[in-house]
Amino acid sequence: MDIGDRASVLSTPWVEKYRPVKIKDVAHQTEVVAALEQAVERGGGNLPHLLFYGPPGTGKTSLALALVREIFPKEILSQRVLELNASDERGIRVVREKIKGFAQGAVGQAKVKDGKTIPSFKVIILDEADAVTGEAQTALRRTMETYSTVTRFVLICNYISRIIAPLASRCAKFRFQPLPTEVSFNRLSMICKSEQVTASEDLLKLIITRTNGDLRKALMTLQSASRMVPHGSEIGDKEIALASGEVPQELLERFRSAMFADSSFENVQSVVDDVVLGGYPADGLLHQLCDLLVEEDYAELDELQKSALIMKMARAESCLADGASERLQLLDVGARGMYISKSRENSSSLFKV
Amino acid sequence: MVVKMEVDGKDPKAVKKDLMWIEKYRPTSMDDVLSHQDTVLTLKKLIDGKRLPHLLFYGPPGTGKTSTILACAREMYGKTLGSMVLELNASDDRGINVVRDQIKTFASTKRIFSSGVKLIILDEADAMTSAAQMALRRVIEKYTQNTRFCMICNYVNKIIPALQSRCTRFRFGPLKREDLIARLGEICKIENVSIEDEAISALVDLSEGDMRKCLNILQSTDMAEAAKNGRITAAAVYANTGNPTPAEIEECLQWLLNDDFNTCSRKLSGLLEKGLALSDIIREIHKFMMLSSLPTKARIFLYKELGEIEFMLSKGVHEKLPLNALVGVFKATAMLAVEEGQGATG
Repeated sequence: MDIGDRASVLSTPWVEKYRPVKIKDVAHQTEVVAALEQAVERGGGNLPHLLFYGPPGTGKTSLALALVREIFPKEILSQRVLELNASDERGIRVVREKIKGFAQGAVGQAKVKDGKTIPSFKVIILDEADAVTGEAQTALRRTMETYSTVTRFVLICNYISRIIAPLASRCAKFRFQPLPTEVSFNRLSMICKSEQVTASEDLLKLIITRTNGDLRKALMTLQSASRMVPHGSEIGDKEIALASGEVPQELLERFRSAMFADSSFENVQSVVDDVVLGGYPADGLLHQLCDLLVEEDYAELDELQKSALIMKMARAESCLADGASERLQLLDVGARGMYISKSRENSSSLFKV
Repeated sequence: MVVKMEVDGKDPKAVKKDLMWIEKYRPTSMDDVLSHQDTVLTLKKLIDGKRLPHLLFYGPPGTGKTSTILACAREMYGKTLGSMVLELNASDDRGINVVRDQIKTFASTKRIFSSGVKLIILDEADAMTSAAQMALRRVIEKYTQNTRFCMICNYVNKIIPALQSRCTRFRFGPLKREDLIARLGEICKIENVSIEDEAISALVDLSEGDMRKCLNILQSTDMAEAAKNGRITAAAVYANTGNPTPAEIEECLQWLLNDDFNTCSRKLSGLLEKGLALSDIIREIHKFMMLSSLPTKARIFLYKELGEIEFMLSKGVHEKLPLNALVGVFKATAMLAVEEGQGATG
């Protein structure tokens, strides 16, 4: 291997390098894998429109790409497949011109080549379809039906509730499940071996719990952590904490004691300042706090107090998703936490109808 | 009822083999249209008497709106379909210019050799701009002599009132259970799908009266299961769509009502790891709780909070906090229910 080669290998993100190529390589999603393999075996002819949905990093895009790669031979892949993702412009104009234009085009009869049937349709992959505007989705409805003889759609999204009902009802829906720990673990340790990275079992498990079953995120974390240590030496907790951008335990501890033990708003304020100025994600802090509260032997708050606080935190997270200010939401949670921890005697008053 | 499959005299199987089932089994004549007997009967009478008014079809997806009007058109025009019908849907540009040019031109001209009125089908009319809808008002009236309009939409409130009042409205409600079951049975027979009766009723439950959804689930389940077991079970239908089974929901409720906070939270996360979506669980729990005997105030609290959690999830936040909030909501509801009970007796 010469130097140029090595440099290019080093710079590929592992998520791309280890992206599954075949349908059966996609981990864990047994139902959809079985369905698609069978469809490919039959020559792909009776493939319905597909809608893949599920949390990020579970293999949706990989599976769609693997599918078209198995249906069509390499030479005609670019004629038969149109892939659009959120980085392309996807307003109503694109649906009317580009998508409809591609969908309308005729293709030759199904034919057999090298023992494989090449079906007589094209495939349009709409990645991140939940980011397509509602107006444009409406315009897709009839296009999907009218040209279904020559074009199949694969829609990919995280949140099925953002796909309008008429579109969803036109597709066969497959939910991609979050990967169980042992599946992710096997994948990560396989990659560790082939990349010659030393990491203990516990550490890999730690990465997986921190990334909530998102294999892509886990791989990214692993790769960036492996860059922080000299080649060949073992990765430690510290590197993982840095690479995954989580809030340090010390800050979390301070936030907790400011709310419950000290019950001082000044302290809450100073922790929140440190979190925001330190560039740590507010929803990460809320998640870690939540983990802490549901730990087995946690007894600082009683059941009702805990319920009230977590309901508040969930609400704050949803506000954050709407684009609210991190600082204000955290202060809000902090202040509410102080109030809740004080009302231990009459915690039923926390819920007013 | 037999599915008609003649396509220009060619072997129907060869032509239709590659079609998805939702297209393959689209009704071709008015007799094939499932449910909505009254609507179909009324339409037939109107067509026979040559007294067709402007039409407005509305209702949830997959209930046969487009199929009905296409079947109507086929019945009315037969071979001259192409020259007598203009079909526009939201994938065509439909701003005010199209109304002014294309629709007006088509509506204002008369065919020399064929009698009768022309038909303009505006599919997905709820996606038309309101400016274009305004422009339609006079067009509809002016050319009533030789053109009829049929507007189709999911949401009738997005059609401006002035247009609504110019049309006869037909509501297409969700399809009836028996109809769906009968039709699914026929299709399974034609496609050689072996399916259990419970699986059919699970399909119907999941589809909520949407024929298209029904067929899509059936086809995707068939693709996944036929190779494995050769027979579709109710469990397979639920697994394939990622929906929780009724038994799982009951188990969830047991946990939520009886276990302490932390145990319940852990058990529920375990369930989510198996691949269920929290929003589906909440939807089903909601149905179960409708049947419970909670006192009023606790009930109000529960529904309000369930709704709020569902709303959070629709924004796409991570499921962890909403899940624990759900546990919290049940803890609080139980407390409120007890308190209310005491208030009533004491």
